[in-house]
Formats: sequence, C-alpha cells, structure tokens
Amino acid sequence: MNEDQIYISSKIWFKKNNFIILAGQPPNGSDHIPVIEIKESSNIDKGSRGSYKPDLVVQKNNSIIVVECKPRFDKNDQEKLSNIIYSEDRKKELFKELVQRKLINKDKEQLNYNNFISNLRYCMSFSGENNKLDKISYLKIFDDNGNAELIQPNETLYSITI
Amino acid sequence: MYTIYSDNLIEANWFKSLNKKFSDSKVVLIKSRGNNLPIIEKIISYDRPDIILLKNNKPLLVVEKTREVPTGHNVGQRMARLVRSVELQIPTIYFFPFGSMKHGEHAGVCEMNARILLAFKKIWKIHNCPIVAVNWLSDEDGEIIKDGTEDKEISNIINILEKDSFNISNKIFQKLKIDNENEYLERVKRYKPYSKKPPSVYEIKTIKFINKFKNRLSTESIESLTKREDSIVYKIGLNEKTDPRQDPYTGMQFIYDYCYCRNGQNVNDKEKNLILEFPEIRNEIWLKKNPNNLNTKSSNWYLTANLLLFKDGDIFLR
Repeated sequence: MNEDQIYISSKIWFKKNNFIILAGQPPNGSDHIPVIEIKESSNIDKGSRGSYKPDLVVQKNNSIIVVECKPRFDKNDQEKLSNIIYSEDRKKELFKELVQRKLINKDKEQLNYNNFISNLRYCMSFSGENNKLDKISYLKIFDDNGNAELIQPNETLYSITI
Repeated sequence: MYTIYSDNLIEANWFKSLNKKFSDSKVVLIKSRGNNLPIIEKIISYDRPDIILLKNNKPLLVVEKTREVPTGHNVGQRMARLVRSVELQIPTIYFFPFGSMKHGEHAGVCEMNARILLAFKKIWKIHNCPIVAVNWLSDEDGEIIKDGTEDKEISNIINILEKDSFNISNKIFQKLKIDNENEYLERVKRYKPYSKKPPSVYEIKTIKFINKFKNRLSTESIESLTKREDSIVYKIGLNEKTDPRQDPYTGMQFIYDYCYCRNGQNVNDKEKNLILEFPEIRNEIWLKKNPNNLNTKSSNWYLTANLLLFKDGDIFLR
C-alpha cells in the first residue's frame, strides 16, 4: 500500500470507531480538512522552517490523537511525534492552532490546556509488523478500506481509548 | 464507464463522491511523464491537474481543487495546467475558496486575486472553451466549510453536466461564466487595483523598450519585438541565489498573457509582446538553472513569452 492508501484507510478506521477528524495534511494533495501547523518555538514568526504538519489529528471525547501515516514503520514519523511528546512548546502550539481554527472549544471552553495535554495521544499508521513502542500507539493497516488493528503502547498512560 | 485520472487517491475519491454515476468508475493514478496514455501526456505537458475525467479515452472535464485561497501572486500557481486543458478544448473547473481565514500571527480573511477571473474570461473567449471558477464556501467566521455541504454546488454542476454527456455547450457553463463575471466586477468595485495591472507588470512602447535595453537585445529579438507597437513587461524578482523555481511565476505569465497580450489561440497571436524581465539574473546562470527541458517544469518558462530579458542579455523565444 502507498501513503495515500494508508492515509485513506486510517481515516476510515478512525471514523468507524467514532473519532472526529479534526485536521490533517494528506500526502501529495488536499483533503477537505484543515491543515494545522505546529511551529518550531524558536521560529514562531519566521515562516514554516522547522514547522510540522501532522497527517491527521482526530478526537474522541476529550482525547486528541496526532497521527502520522506511512506505508511502513518510519523512524522519522516516530521522531516527529516524539518531538511533541517531549516538548511543552509544541503541545502549546498544537493547542493554540486547534483553538484558533475553532476545531476545539468553538463556542465554550470544553477542553482546557491541562485536560488537553493529559489526554493527548500519538499514533503511527502503517502496514506490517513492528515492536510495540513506549508512548506511541500504532495502527496496523490491513487494506485500504479501514480494516486495521490498533496496537497500544507499552505505557498504559498513553493508550488510546476506543 | 468513466475513468478518473488523478495525481492522488484522496482527490480521486473526492471527485468520485460527487456523482453516483462515478461509483463504478476506474481510478488511475497519473504516472510520470512519458508513461501515460497519449491524451493524458498532452494534458499534463505543462503540469498535472488534480482530476481528468475520461470516457472511452476521450477527456470530458478537468477539475482543479484547492482549499487555499489564491491570493496575490499565488494565484498563478495552478494556472499553467488549467490553460493547457482549455487549449485542448477540455472544459475546466477550478474549485477553490474565493475568500477564507488565514491563520497564524497575521490572521485575517484573505481574498482571491480577482485577476484570475478576468484571465478565465479571456481564455474562454480565445479558445472558445469553458473555464470557470467555483467557490468553496466559507462560514460567517471566514472558515472554509468542511462538513460536506461545501460540495453541494460543484456536485450539482457535475450532475447537470453528466446528464448532458459533458456537453461543452451546456447552459450551466454560461451561468457560471456570468456568475464569474459579476464576481469580478463586484471585487473590482471593492478593490480597484484589480482592474489595473499589478506593480510587477508595466506597459511600454516597444520602441522605448528597445532603446532602453538595446545593448542586451539580439538583432533577432529587436526585429521580432518591433512587429508589435506595445509590450507588456513582467518584472520577476528572482535572483541568482534562489533555487530554480517555476511557481507561481510561470502561471502568472499566462494570466498576464491572456489579460493583456493574447488575441488568438496560437501563442504567437498577441496584440502586445510579453516580456519576462529578470533584472537580478545573468543569462548564463539562467540557462544552467532553468533549461528548456521538456521533461521538467522549467520548460514552462518558455511557453508563452516573446522574450526573456536578463541583466546581461536575452533569450529570444518567438
């Protein structure tokens, strides 16, 4: 499967499991969802250098999940997500983007920042096998129709609730 | 059965969802140049559109879609591929937000560069083939709508066309043409500069231009330029340090060509010369970075202008 198929299949899987698709940047093209950009904290005012656009951002209840899609397990995607996990600035930027674009807290504050970070989760989508990761879940994609299996991370604190 | 050619499965699936008759259509991803059906090769020779709809290998429609508002200079980014399809007599629809919220430090509602609508009007007239813009609507906060209802109008247009076998003379195109013309007039009323040339473009008597730059122009260029009394010069701010790039300039040249120069289908049919001026680049460096190689997009620099003018010379094109 190519990256498009992984993206499409991931989107179907999340929808099937009652997640709301908030945003994303599909590979090589435009989707109908907003693109959000998490800027490098040292480069907030200077354009896109160091910024990161997640492939998908989905939500269920209070939990927001940042998803990266690739045909196979990809070390760079793991790094991109780890950069959010270990950076308070990136989390703040992500929260700011979601609020500013009215993707969350549109009419009233349903999710404050502390709630947001404690419920923020991370997922990599790809086809094939891989070892469990500590803080990042992975979605093992079987086909391009949204058939997939969610593999939870080692640390239960980072598990995604379906 | 229909065949949908696309760069991308996500866009192909979106297009497929616009009409029930497309549900069993075949989706084919456009391959790299030289590896597609001859008609697809022709269509993608300037650049690749998002969607090419075919039936029995006959192209029926080209659709380009973006969620970004084509503001300012960005409006040229997708122009070459749109022009190409109309040159080949394929009706073309460009679906994009006419205005929507830009986020970030300088957040605010951005509006399209309305000159694209003027260019569409001229392109249609010259090639006698529909090219229209369809608005991707925004909500009251300027955020583009993304709950599915944004596709209502384009889906309706596709349904009407499908029922009429994608007849190029279908009245829906005429309606959209009038809508686009009114939109242009409305936008010019709100922002007068759209009725004039932008600061990067100026008109000059050809003789004056030749006198000013004669030490950079070849005899062949001078002879050819003098055939037209007036010239349009598009001044491009690239320099020798910038990486080779085409977008949005090679698309903008089409907008200026059709808005201010062209009067016929052939690229030589111009009432005024079109000159691309690069005041910060030497001829030799240009040729190294942007050769007229048909296998790359750098060949788009050579598609429509009469002349490329550099700080130390020129390239005569036509």
